[in-house]
Amino acid sequence: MAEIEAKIGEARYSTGYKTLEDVAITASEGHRVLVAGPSGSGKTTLLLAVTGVMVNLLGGSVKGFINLAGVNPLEARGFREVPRLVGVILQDPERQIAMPTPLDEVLFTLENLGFKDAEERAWRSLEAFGLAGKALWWVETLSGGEKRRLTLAAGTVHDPEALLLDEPTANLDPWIVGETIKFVRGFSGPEIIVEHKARYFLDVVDEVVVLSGGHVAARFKRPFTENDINRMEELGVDARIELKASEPRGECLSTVAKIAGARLGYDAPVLSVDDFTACRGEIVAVVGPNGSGKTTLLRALAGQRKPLNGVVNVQGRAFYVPQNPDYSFLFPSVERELEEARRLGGRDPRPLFRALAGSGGSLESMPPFKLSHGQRRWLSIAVAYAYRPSLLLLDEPTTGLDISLYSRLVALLRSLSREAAVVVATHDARLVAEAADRVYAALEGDLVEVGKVEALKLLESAWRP
Amino acid sequence: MKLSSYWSPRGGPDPAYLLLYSFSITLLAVVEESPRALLVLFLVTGVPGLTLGFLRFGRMLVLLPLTVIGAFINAMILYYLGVAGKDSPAAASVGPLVIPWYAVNATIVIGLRIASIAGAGLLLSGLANPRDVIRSLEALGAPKGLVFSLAYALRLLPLLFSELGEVMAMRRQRGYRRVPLTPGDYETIMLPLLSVSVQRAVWVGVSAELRGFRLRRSLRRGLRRPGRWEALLAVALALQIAAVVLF
Repeated sequence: MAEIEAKIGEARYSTGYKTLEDVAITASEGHRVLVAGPSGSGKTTLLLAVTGVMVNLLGGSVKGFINLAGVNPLEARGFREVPRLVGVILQDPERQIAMPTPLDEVLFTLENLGFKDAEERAWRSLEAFGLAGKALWWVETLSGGEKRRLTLAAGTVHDPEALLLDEPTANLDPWIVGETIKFVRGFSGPEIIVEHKARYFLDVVDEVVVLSGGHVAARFKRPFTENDINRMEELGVDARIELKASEPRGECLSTVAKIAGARLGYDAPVLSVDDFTACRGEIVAVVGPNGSGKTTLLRALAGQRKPLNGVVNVQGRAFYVPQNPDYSFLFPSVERELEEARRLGGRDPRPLFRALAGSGGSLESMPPFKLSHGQRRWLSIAVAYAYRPSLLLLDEPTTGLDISLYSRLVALLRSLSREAAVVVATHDARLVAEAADRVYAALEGDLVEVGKVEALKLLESAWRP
Repeated sequence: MKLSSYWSPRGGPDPAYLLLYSFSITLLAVVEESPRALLVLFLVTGVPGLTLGFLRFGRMLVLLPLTVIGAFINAMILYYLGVAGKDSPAAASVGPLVIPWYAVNATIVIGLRIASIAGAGLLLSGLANPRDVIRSLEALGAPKGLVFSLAYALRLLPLLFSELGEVMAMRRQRGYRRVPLTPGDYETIMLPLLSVSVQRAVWVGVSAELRGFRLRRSLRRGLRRPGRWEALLAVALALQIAAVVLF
């Protein structure tokens, strides 16, 4: 019977920095453990330690005992066996998929492991994950949800005995989250799921281990009580299952953006917009499945895409902050990034960045790409702030943020909305519930305004069984 | 976009044979100096390859005549600087400008050489999809690291294009010029692309290892039994080798 058992005394990266201390975790057959915790708590490091990657590939060290489906991955011989025994799904499909087509991606796993019937198995797996019709398409033409399904197919096509998943819901719309939860529920071996959005998995896991600063801060066993959930939230885990819609502020200080009767898209229309407005003084959320045209709308408002027909009116300057903040950075240091933004934008973003990152200037000599995910998010917003936008467009701004960073973001958006209309494209029901003043839904090619309660119902019912 | 329907005709030659053929023609074109032998290479491989390429890439083939013009200008500059073809007789003159036989010959040789090599490449990419070509490399016994790198490059190309679009849009939004001119401009484009690519490469490496890449054994299967297409390639290659030997 397969089991995952890890008793880690300490784990260090090659730099010598200690990231885990006294962490123990066990998942037996049919047992699912969720590892949660705020950003930088050591969740992904735990996964790298348990799989042996930290020792065997990254030059780090792990002291302790690990049994991964019968092998010790800390030893070279055991590490060689890990791919046969374990399926590993990484956080970002873009960073997991190595091959140009779905068929090659699935075949890659099977051929590496020497399966004689690789081709036949690969097709069966693609069929099961609904990708057989796109087996020979460029991976790049798949939607976000299809890419996630492909990683699930490629990670489990060899029938592993145990499964490890790192932030499997990151960047996914709630509809695909629902599929992912179903997949997790359907696997019969031991599973470890690393996820800061614990709320999605509380119905399917047996235990929640919360990490903080590389230590185990708390453990919760099923059934999870209201007290457990409150405690998880206190520890920085997004665990609240029921969300309540806050009262919209209802302040339209001035209309900044207006679209009437436009069709948006690239070569073909993706989204029809009969009536869209965004005002200074409010936060407008745009929700909808992956590929429904949310980003297309934001890009049209930013002037990066012309509408196929109709008119997009924006008063003043619009600034678009992409989902991946890394595309916002053009210079080798934070200092230059901020200085260049000040020079061309006209406002000094340093005070805002220092306040958000709590750094007092200590981060400014670093390359932007070496900052933590949260710090990069703050930097990308600080750069936008320097340009004094009257319309601030944020694409999935809460991705990868823990509860504390999320709360800071909501406060920031509220504050920025006093001088600019803020439009966010998001899958995050919590952001819709707690921050949005008005909501538009991109569904089946049309953008329609919906009430907050209705939007919440839409997002929440999409992933629940 | 479906990769196979876009690229490969059904029942075409085995990509492994095609790869060997294209490689051989490229080699012959690089080492051969005789215009007559190069003309044979051009007629047998260049013409069908460029025709196929024109059907697929259309206007991109304009680059080819430009290359030939460039070769002519280069030969003329070398002649007038006295670096090459000093004693070459005049082939023609346009006003005060004398065109030596040296420049004519050099242009013909370089033009035929480039057209033959381009034709061989276009024949390969026109008759086999890149995925099959890469897999055929593995079947021919190429090292798995090389094959993986090529397959990953194929995965990355469209991704890099879309990331380049993101970075260019951000540059414009931040008030930088639309067309990059200075090294600093290029730095602001390359820096985010490289940083994102490096991070991704590390994780793809981890993903590949966790899916058993180090356990991968050679999928070498040798060449399949040749059919009509392969026989045609063999005849064409024999003809071209004969031309190189005879001329």
